[in-house]
Amino acid sequence: MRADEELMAAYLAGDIAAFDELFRRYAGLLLRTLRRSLGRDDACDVVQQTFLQLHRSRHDYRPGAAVRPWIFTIALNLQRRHLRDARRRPLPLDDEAAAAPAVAARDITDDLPRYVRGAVARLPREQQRVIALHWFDGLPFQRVAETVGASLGAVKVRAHRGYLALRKIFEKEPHDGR
Amino acid sequence: MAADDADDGEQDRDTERLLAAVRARIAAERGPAAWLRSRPTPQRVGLIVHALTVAVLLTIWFGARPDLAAYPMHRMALALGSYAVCLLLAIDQLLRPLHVRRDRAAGLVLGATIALPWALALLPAAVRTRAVSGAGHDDCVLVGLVAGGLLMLLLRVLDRDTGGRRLRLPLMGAAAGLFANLVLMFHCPIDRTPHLLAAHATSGLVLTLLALAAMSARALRGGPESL
Repeated sequence: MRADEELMAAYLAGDIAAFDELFRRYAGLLLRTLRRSLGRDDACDVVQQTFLQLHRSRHDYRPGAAVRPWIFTIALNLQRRHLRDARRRPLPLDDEAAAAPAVAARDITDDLPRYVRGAVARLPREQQRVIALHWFDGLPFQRVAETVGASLGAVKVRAHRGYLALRKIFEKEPHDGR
Repeated sequence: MAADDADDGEQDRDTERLLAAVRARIAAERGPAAWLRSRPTPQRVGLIVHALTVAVLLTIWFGARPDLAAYPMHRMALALGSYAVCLLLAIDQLLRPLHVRRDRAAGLVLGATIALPWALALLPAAVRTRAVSGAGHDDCVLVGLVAGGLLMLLLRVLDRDTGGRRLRLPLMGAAAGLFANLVLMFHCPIDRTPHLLAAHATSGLVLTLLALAAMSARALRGGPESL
């Protein structure tokens, strides 16, 4: 399997199939990540916008630079805008959003109990992202760091603080498991 | 097992549908504007800087202030230096690609860009080496609006992302106003505070208000920005 960076270099050289492969590699992951905070339609729109911006910015790409943080930074910037424009909470977890049909039926967040999603939504946004990628997507800290564009140490600190805060929330507000 | 296969199939179909939509949008990215937008960011910034430099040179060539040679250099350097630095920071913010993480100083740049012309207008008038009449310079607002409008147009063409960063339109208006004031520095010999406030800084205010009006219209429509 070709590395992301090879695919990006190939796309810059005019290989359209390389762009398609990058899209297929990241679209599902982006949709799962975005659907935690956006509805299905908005998440799909942000994924489209992300790859359109990737195309428009292709000549800014420096050969060899990591592609994954590039894609995720675009997506997360667009996500922030969507949330702001829609005047939504950082992680709206209302019943309607949770009940929306999933692009991927195996979308992990749909399986999470409401009290977990509600608790994560109360964390600072930086901690939400790290915990979402580490806990929900099961990414190792190194990949999380690459994805959010932060150092490994910073990501571990955010995760540690986030998990501590979650533990406090769960201890303070007992739930019935739903 | 069968359910998992069905899920995989559904996800694959969704991905392919999205990919087809993205391909269509990329296929529509044609023409000179799309080509300019796709230039590397340093080139886009360079293009604007070159175009603005040409605009300033044309102003000097066709309508330079009559006291240009008599105006104190340190005062000119102070004004031009602060305008140029602030303008570059604003352009850098406005053309910042989305793969670059958000700059938390954007609000600061906006504040400086708006405040600078007003702050410089409040300085005492410069002492020239010879007296110069300000008669015939009643076109400052028009010249300022044309200069600012040019910058807004360039930014609109070169911006890859017109979808609505919160500070984008106010910053665009303020930067246009700043450039209007910079051009007027070379055009108008009157540097009394009332004139600078009423005719020079006002150009910037008008452009900023226009940008804010466009932003409000967008918010009301819930659609893309009109600028």
